[in-house]
Amino acid sequence: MAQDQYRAEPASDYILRSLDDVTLVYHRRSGQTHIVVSPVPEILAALTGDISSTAEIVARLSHDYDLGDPHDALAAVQTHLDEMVALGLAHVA
Amino acid sequence: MSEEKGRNAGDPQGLPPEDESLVTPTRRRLLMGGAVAASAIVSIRPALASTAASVLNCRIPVPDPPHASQHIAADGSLVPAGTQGAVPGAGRPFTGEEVKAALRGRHLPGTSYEQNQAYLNYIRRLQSGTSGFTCYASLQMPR
Repeated sequence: MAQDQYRAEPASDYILRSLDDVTLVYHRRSGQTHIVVSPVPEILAALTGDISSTAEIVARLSHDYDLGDPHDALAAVQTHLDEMVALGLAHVA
Repeated sequence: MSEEKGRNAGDPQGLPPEDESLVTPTRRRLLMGGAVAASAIVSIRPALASTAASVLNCRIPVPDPPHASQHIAADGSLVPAGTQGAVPGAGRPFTGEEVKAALRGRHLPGTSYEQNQAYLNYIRRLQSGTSGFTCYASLQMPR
């Protein structure tokens, strides 16, 4: 698996609003609103600032969260990252 | 105080001291488990609650049904049938994909040069409330 590096969309380019069960992410450039649930907000938070690989993001998340089996966690976070990249919430650096 | 913290390596039962729970709070489980990660995102385009795929399949009638009997002038405005220089409406609605391609320089399918120009100008003039406006507006949204 290629070691892609990721970065978040700049924080100024989207607005986050947490509701009870979901988080709304308004993406300014596209005008779209994304309704997201865990682990997407957590992955977004783990991404901000640095350029990171999937493994680094998983390591960062495991400080605060129980991610279960590390192999499954890597695959799951990768899947979410791919979706976020497709929607413009994250970018391959 | 420090001797109360941390694991007691010499404890024969291997049990953490009682204060361990204060030092290492339980972390919330983040991932649902399993090899397949379900999609955690639903996206809403402004003025259109629909999937990305259906935007390109949405329809723009030219003109909108209430004005089907009117013709379209070169500048895209609606005029009475038979007006000099105007063209009749299109025989079928155009898909978002067809309009998107036409706005980038291709022809709307099945149209002459005059029809293509008139129809595109009509589409560019679409206002909120007119059939096809939401489809056209969605084409403008960058992804």
